[in-house]
Amino acid sequence: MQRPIRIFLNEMRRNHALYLMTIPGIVFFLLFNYLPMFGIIVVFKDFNYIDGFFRSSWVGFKNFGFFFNSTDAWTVTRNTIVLNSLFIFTSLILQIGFALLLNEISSRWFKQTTQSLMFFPYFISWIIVAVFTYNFFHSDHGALNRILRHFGIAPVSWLARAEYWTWFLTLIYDWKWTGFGVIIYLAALAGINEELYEAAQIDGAGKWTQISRISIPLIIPTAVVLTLLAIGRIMISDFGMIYGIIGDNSMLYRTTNVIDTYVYRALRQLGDIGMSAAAGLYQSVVGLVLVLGSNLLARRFSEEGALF
Amino acid sequence: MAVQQEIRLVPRILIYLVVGIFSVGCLMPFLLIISGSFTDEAEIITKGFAFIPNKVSYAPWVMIYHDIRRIINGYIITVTVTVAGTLLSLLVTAMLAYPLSVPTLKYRNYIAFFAFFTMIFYGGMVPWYIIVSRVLHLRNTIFALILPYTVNAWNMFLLRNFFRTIPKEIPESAKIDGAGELTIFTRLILPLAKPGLATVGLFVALGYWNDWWLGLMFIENHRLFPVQLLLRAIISNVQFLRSATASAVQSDASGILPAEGVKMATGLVTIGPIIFLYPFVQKYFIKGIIVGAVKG
Amino acid sequence: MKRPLKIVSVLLLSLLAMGFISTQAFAGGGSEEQIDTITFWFPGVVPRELDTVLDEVNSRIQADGIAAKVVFNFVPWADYQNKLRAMVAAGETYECHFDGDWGAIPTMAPQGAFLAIEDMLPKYAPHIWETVEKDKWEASKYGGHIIGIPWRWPKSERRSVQIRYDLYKKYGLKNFDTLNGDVFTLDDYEKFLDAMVKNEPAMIPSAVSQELVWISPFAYVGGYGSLNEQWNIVYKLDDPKLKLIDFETTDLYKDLTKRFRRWYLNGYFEKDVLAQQTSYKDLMITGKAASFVHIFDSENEMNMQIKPNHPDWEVKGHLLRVDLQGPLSPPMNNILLFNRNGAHPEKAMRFWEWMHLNQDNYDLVMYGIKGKHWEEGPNRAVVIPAPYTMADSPYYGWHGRWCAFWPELERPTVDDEPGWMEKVLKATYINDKLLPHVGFFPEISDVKNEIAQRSSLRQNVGRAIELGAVDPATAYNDYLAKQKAAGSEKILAELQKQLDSWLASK
Repeated sequence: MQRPIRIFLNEMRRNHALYLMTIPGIVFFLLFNYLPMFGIIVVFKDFNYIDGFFRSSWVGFKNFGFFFNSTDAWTVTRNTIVLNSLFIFTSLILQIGFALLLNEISSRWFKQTTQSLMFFPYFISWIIVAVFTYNFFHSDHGALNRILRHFGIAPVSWLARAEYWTWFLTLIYDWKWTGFGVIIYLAALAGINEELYEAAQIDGAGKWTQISRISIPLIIPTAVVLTLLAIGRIMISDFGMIYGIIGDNSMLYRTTNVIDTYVYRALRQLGDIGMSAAAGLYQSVVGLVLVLGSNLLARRFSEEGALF
Repeated sequence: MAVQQEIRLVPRILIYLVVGIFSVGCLMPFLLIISGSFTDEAEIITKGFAFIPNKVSYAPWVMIYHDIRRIINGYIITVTVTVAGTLLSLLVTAMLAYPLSVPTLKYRNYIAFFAFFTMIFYGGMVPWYIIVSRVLHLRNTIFALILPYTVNAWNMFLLRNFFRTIPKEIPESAKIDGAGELTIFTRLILPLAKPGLATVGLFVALGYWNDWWLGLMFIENHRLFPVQLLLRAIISNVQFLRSATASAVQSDASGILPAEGVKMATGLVTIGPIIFLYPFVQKYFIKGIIVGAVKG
Repeated sequence: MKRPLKIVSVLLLSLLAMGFISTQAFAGGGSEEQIDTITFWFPGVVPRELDTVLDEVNSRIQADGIAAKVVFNFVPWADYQNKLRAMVAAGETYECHFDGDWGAIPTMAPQGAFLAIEDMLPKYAPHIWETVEKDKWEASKYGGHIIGIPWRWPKSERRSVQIRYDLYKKYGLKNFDTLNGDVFTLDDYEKFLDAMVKNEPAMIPSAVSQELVWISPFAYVGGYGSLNEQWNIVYKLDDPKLKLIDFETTDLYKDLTKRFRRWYLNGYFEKDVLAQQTSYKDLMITGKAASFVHIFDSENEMNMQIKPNHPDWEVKGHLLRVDLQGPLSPPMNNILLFNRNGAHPEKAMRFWEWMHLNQDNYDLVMYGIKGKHWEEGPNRAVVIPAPYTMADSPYYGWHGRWCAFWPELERPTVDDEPGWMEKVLKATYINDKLLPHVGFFPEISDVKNEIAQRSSLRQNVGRAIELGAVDPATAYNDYLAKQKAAGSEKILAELQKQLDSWLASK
C-alpha cells in the first residue's frame, strides 16, 4: 500500500496536463462562489451596517425563528417540494418525448421550425406571462371563463381556487421550459453513432425497438445528470415565475406559497440579511442531503449519469 | 445521413400533429405580444389581448423610439459582453469539464463536488457584491459584466455529460500515437463535441444576453448599461407610476401611459436579435444537418 | 498548438480592447485635484439628457465656488432597496440617496446607515437650515440626530374617496363640499357604490390598489393613529401615553371588516380583488372603475390623465370624515439621506443649498435647460416642447426629485388643475396634524422574528379578511388567535418600552 503522498504525486505526474486544464475554472469558482461564502456567517449574527459582517454580534439560531416557529413552515416546504418534483418529472417526460418525436420527423423544415417555435416561450419574461395568465384566468373578462360560458358551463373563480394552481403552474412551467430541454436531448441524440441504428435495422429491429433499446438508454445519463442537478435545487424555486404569476393573491397561497415567496413576503419590510440568509441555508442543507442521497442511488443505476 | 426508416402512416401523422399543436401553442403567446405592442392601452385594459388589435396605437413604440440612441448603445454593450463572455466561458468550462469526463482521472469526483457545491450554497447577495466590487475592484468596468458568470456548475456538468459520450478509444489511440492531452483536447475532443458545445454555448450566450443583474449591481456609468437593464428600468418605472405609492405630484404623465403596451414592446426588443441568430446555432444539434461532425 | 493559441490570443486581445473601451467610456472625473465627484442615487430611469444638464450644473456650481462634480445614478424601482442595502453594507462612499419612510429607512436607520448632519447644516446649508420648519427637522431625526433633508411639500395621509363625479351627478346623489367642511362618510360612499352596481354593471364600483395596506389608513376614522401600517399597530390619538394596540383587536377593525365583507358580497369590489393586477389608475382612466380610495392628491393626477381623452368625465376627491383629525404625511415621506460613509458630504450639502438658493438654480436641476428641455407656460407652469410629452420628456420627471420640493420653488405643469396647489394646501390644513409618534423608529432586532411572522400572517390571512373576500364571521377569530400565537403581545411589549423612553426623552 503506497503512502498517500506517493499516490498523489503519481497521479499528478500521470495527468498533470489535465489537472492544469481545470485550474482556470477552479479559480473562477473560488473567486466568485467560494470567497463570498464568508457571508454565510451572517446567518448566525444580528447584522448592522456599523459593525458589518465581522463585528456584528452572534445570536446563534435566532434568525431561523421566524420561519420554523411559524405555522406555515411545513406548508411552504411541502409546496416547494411538490411543485418542483412535478416540474422535474413532467418536464423530463415532455422533453425526452418531444426530442424523440422530433428526431423521427423527416421533413427538415418542419423539424427546424417546430423546434424553434418550441423554444420561443423561453424568451418570454415572467412579467409578460403574468399579464397573460391574469387575463386568461380572470373570473369576469378572462378568456377561459368566456369559453366556458360559450359552452354553457358555469364560470369558475380560477384566481381564488388554490387547488387548481399546482397544475396550472406545472403546465406553465412545462410550456416555458420544454423547448429548452428538447435542445439538450436533441444534442444528446445527435451524438449517438449512426451505425448502431443501421446495425439494428439490419437485424430487423422496428422503430420502437430502436428507440427503446438504443436512443433511450443512451440519453439516460443526460437525463440522470439533469435530474440530479434539479434535485439539488429542489428546495429553491424560480421566484420570478411564482411571485410574478401569483403576486400577492393570498387566496392561492395554500398550494403556491413556496419557501422563497414566503420568506420574501415576510421579510420585505424588514430587510434583515441574516434572516433571509437563514432561510437560504435551510434550503441549501436540505438540498445537499437530498442530492447526496439521490447521487448514491444514481451511481447504482447509471454510473455515467451520477454527478460524483 | 443514414437512410431514414419509413414510419407507418398513422403514427407519422400523429407525430406531426402532436409536435405541430404544441409548437403552435408555444407560438400563440408570442403573437399576442406582437399584437399587444401595437394595441391601444385602453383596449388592453378593458378588453384584454387579441391576436389582431381592435384599436391600433403606436404609443409604446414611440416611447421606445425616443430612447433609441441609448437602446442601441445598450445593444452594443450587450453584444460585446455576450460574444466575449460566451467565448471565454466556453473555453474555461470546457477545460474544466473535459478532465472530469476522463474516467481514469483520480480526483475527478472531488473536483466535481467542489463545482456542484456552488450550485447549492450561496454566500448571499451582499458578500458577493463586496467581493466583486471592493475586493476584485470590478465595479464600473465591462469585466464586471462578464467574469462573474464565466463558470457555472450546471453548464459544466452538462458539458461533461457530452464529453462522456465520446468513445474512449479515440483519445486512447491518439495517446498511443504520442499526442499530448492538450492536442487531444483541441484537435479531437472539441470537434467531436460540437453538439454539446453548441448547446452549452447557446445557453451561456442566452445567459449573458438576458442578464440585467450584473449591470444593476456593478455598473453606475449609464453608458455601460446593457440593454436588458435599460429595458428593466423602463418597465419598472412604468409599473411604479401605476402604483399607489406614486401619487399626484409624482406621476406627471398626461394621457394614458401605455404600461401594458410598453411591457410587450420591450419584450420584443429583448428577444429581437437572438431570434435571428438562433437558426444558425440550431444546425449543430439537429441530427441530419450536422456540419463537420466526424465519427469513427 | 496553432489554432488554440490563435483563439486564446484573440480572446486576450479582445478582453484588453474592452478594458480599454471601458476606461474611456468611464470618462473619469477628478482629473483636477480640487474637484471631487459627489454621487447621488435615485430610483427610476436615467433621463436621456442627464449628461447635458449635469454638465451645465457642474460648470455653474464650480463658477459659484463649489469644487465638485455632481453625478446622478439611477436604479430601477424594483431593485432600488436591494442595491442600496448592498452598497451600504459594502461601505461604498457615495454621498446621498433618496428614500422615504415607506422605503428602507425604518430598517436602515436603526442599523446605522446614515450620517448625522445637524452640525453641518447651519454651516454648509444655512438657507435650507433656516427655511425648513423646525418641526420638520425634528421629524427627520433618528436617535436624536438629523439624518437627511426632508421635502417641504404639504401632503396628508387622510383618506379621500375619488369618485367619477359626472356619474355621481348623473344619479342624483347628494353633493358634498368636503374642502369647505362637509362631512363625507363611508355610508355616503356606499350610496354611490350602490348606484353604480344598479346602473353601471360593466364598471367596477370601487377599485382597490395593489398595495398591501387597505385597512390601516382608515385608523383615524376610529380615532386611532397608526404607528406602522405594515405592522397594523395603532394607538388612540387622545391617549397621551400612546398605549399600543393591535389594530385587528379594535372595534373599528371589526366594524370595517364587516362593512367590507358587505361590499365584497354586494359587488362593490370586483370578485378577483385579491388578484388584481391592473392598476386602479388604469381602471379609472379607461372607465372600467368608478371610484377608489386614496389620498387627496389623486384627484389632480386622475383629471390630468382623463381629460385629454374624455373631457366630459371628471374625478372629484371627497375627503373622508373631515370632522375627525387626520394624519399629515411625515416629512420623511420624501427625504434626501446622507450616507454614513460618504466621502464629501459637505460638498453634497453645499450643492443642495445652491440648488435651493434661487429659482434659476432650482429650475436647472429639476427641469433642465430652459428653452431646450422645458419652456415656461402660463402661471409659472412647465411646458415640455414638442415632440415630447410629460411621459417621455428628455429630462423632466426624474424620480426621486420630490425630496427637493419646496412649495415656493416647485412649478406646476401645464396639465395640472389651475389652483391645484391652493387646493392641496387647504386640504391638508383642515384638521390634519403630524402624528405624535413621528420620528420614532424602533430597534426591532429582539422582536424581528415575531414581526416577520406578524407581517406574514397579515398578508396570508388578514388581507383576504380586510378586503371581504372571506367571511369574517368564521375567519376573524381564527386570525386573532394566529396573531396571538405568533407573538403579537411580545411585539407590543417591546415597542411600548421603546416608545415610552422615546417620549420621555422629548
